Amino acid sequence: MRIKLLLSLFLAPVLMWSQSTSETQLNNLAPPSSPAFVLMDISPSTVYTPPSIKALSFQVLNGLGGGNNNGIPKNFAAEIVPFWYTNPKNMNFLTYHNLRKSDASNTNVDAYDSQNVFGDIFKRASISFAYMDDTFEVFETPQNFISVGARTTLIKMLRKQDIKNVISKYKNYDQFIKDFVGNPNNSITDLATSADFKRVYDELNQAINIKPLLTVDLALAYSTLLNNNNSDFSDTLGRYGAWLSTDLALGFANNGNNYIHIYTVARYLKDGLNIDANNQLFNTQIYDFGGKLEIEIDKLSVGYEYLTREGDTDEYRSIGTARYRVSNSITLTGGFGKNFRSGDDTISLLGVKWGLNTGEGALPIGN
Amino acid sequence: MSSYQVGTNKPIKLKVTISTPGHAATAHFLNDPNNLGQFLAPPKSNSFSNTDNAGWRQINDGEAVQGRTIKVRTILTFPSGMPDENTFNLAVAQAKRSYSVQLSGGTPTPAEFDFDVKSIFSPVQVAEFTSLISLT
Repeated sequence: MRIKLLLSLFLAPVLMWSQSTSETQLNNLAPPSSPAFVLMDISPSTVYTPPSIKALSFQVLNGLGGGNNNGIPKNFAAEIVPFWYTNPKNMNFLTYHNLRKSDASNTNVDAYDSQNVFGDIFKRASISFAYMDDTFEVFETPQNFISVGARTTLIKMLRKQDIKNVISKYKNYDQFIKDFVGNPNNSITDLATSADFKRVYDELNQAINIKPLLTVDLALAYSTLLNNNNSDFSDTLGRYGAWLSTDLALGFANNGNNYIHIYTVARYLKDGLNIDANNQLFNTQIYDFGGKLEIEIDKLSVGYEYLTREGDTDEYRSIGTARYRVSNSITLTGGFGKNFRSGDDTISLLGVKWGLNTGEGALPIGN
Repeated sequence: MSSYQVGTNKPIKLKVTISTPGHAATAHFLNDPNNLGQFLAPPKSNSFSNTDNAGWRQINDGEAVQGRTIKVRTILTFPSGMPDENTFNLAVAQAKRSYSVQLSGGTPTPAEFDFDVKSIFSPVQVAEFTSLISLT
């Protein structure tokens, strides 16, 4: 009896967590990194990154094996960042990070004292693509859907002092590598064991990946029936989604880890994959608007977010959130308040978020 | 190894260009006339990176270089970090498409040369571009 009691005490939080996450699915405030996949609620186990545009064309046209009669595989997901397939002219580390010279004739790196806040629109744009064969819990037989999405950063604005810091760290890094390459006895494998390289690398990496003062991100996705297996369905049936978010990060305490974030978000979703009691398909539309205020102190973030949902429904979400970053890949998350579809009930959430450390230095917004 | 006909011409000049989001630093080495298998360390001022002015630079302080070998080496690193190996490979391929090593002052002038690329993703993200040119 005592053992059962102890077991139930230990298991209770786990069960509560499981129940909470299954009943209330909170979405990120930030636009998804792969909108084509999120729109169709899929998590492809393999996402193809083509070595070239030619290879992508070849892969899609010839299939991966097990394809249907179009020659396209039944389930296929790809993601590309078009920038990597282009041939930019006169690009260097500083111009890639949108720094530019006020005086173009000045050859000193200190001349990189201004920025192009719109410089990431193309460079950071990604396109996601998915082709899938599924019933989506709506159709009796699997249907062929294609989903295409794009995401980019419209605006990224760095602080003046952060630009100066990047230049300062860049000069140390630049000098180190110049000295290194100038020694004919050095090989590139020596870099792996060089403590000095690690130091200058870490300093520049942290300086360049610091949270910008302002970022504005946009994502769009569209999906439609591609090969209609049932002539009763409209060939335009599908989903359309748009996400727009801003993050104003005001630093305080001057240590580079403490911020007050003011997020705003607007989302739109048109969903044609709904079926009524008479087995008739119908469209729904929702619009979300809102924001979040969050205080980030080192590894701890505490915030409050409010979202209103309009369209075919009239709901709101009002929730307090807390996150604690255990490591670069593990974050504990918690929330308390009222979520969409929770009626008058308050909900509480506790979870663990884990993933690969991408080195981007940014955490997702929300749970 | 490539070769370039320079004769007794001087000065012979080198130009290296690369367009990349990474940091690229270049140095060139001439072999020791008394020990042809050994490359000499160049003056520090011979090293330059892709944020410095791209342009023609004299080799061997403008003196004749007939009979010697020049090794041109560029080290490419990505201080902002590449998120995965696929992206790293794409970034190296992009840099490779833009990379050029040219010499002027000989025959023909200018002349562009081949290069080899060696890259490592882990534990450091680095690529090395190397050209070996016999100056005849």
